[in-house]
Amino acid sequence: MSAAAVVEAGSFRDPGGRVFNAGEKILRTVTDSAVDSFTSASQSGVLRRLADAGKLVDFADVTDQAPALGLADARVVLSHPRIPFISYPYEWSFSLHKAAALAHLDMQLSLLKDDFALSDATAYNVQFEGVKPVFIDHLSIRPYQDGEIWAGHRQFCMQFLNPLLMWAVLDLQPSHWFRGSLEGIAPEDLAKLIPLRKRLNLTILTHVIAQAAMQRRSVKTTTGSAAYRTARLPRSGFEGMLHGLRSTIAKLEVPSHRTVWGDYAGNTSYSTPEMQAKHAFVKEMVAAVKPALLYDIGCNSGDYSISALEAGARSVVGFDFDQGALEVAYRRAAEGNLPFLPLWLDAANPSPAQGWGQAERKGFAGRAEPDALLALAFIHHIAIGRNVPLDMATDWIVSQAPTGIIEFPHKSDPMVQALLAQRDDIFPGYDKDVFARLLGERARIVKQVDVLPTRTLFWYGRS
Amino acid sequence: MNGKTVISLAGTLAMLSVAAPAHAYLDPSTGSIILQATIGAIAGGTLFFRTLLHRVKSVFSRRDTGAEK
Repeated sequence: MSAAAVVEAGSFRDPGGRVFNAGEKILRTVTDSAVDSFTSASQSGVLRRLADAGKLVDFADVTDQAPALGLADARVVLSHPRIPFISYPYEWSFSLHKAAALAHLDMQLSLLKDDFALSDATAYNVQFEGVKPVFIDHLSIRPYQDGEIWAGHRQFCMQFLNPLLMWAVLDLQPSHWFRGSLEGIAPEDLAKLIPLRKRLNLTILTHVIAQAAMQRRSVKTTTGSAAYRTARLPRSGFEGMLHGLRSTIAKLEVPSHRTVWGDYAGNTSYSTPEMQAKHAFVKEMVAAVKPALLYDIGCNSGDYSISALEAGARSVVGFDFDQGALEVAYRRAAEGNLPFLPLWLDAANPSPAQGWGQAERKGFAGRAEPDALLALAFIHHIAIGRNVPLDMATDWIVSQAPTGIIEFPHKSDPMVQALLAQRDDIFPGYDKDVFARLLGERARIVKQVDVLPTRTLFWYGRS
Repeated sequence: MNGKTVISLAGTLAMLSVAAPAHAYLDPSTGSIILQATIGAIAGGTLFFRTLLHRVKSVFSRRDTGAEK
């Protein structure tokens, strides 16, 4: 029996269709306004080719089941496989964001060759399988009309180019701003931040500074708005802009990330008996639980995420606060083509449910249902680093997954002492035995191991 | 007349030169449209020369590898 289709709250913007959750599957309806362009794209074979190449999420036409699915009004119904974890641009590392931008431009360029184009440029239409970008909106692919303007240009700038420039040119993480402004970072705002000496760059001068000036001017004058609708961009100009942006973005890098790889490379992950014991314990839990999805909270550069994959986890989503570590994790996932997605998370302030009706973009809680989690060398960062009482920290971690491993560094551990070095110890309750009792009240302790005299790993199970 | 005025005027003139319909649910916004009308032609030209340069380069690099053998 198939589950009732529940509309996806983030899919309302394009009236051409809606997306529905139906158990294991994702369904997409195509309405009257989009059926012609969808049919063209579908019959041309372009959708199938992109899906077979892994660039577009796979699809099957299930229109014949529309009445049974409760979607009788739809002209076409597509069924898609579920992506393990939906992530948002404000959770992406620089490299993920860059990969998404390049994937968008490449798709636009490839579509143009077949006389198709993307009708928008929203970053939310790019998701990741491992760290490989995959496009999820089949209805954005529409026939290209010769000379039409690039309607998604401003959106591309706000959601891809400007955040990447902010990162590469200003060495500022754009996630905080992007999270507060779901449409992205406007050229008018970014233009004010770019110092004069950094403006002498063709991309910044045109797409940021000039666009901002023109936008500010056009807001002041209301005349001529009808004429804007008749603007024309020759195909060669469109392709030129796409190629220009592609070559600029491909060269971007973050100044403060340059040294990162070297800093982490020295820390070989199996180098100490403690690390070997941790890897063995992680593998034991994963082999027993066989999680389809595992969260690695505080994944660092992905050592234990990779161990979990080796032990049989089908996919891992890692979370960390350190962008440098995330860059290393990205590179490992990309080089190994691993089903491992490392994302940015401030556990003390995770992504909220927001957008229209506070439902358009989901919060961290409830985004997915991981079967297991790892929280290694993590709890002291919130319990001591962020003053979250130990019982609340334990509640939060245990509520994320039915089973998992939590590492508890004792107060005497150097990692904890480093956090206490600059402040008074106001944490009398931060203690291994207290933690064991708190965890025992919330779950069954399956097994515990002291990997060092000052570090204990607890394997818990809620059932 | 300052620089920004010149840019905007040039853009508006370029934009009005030819016309084709644009269909989209997305509001492209005027700043972006003026920019596209202004730099579209330049971007197309740049791409043309870049492709040309790439072809010339590839001819020479092919000769180089040939000479080494």
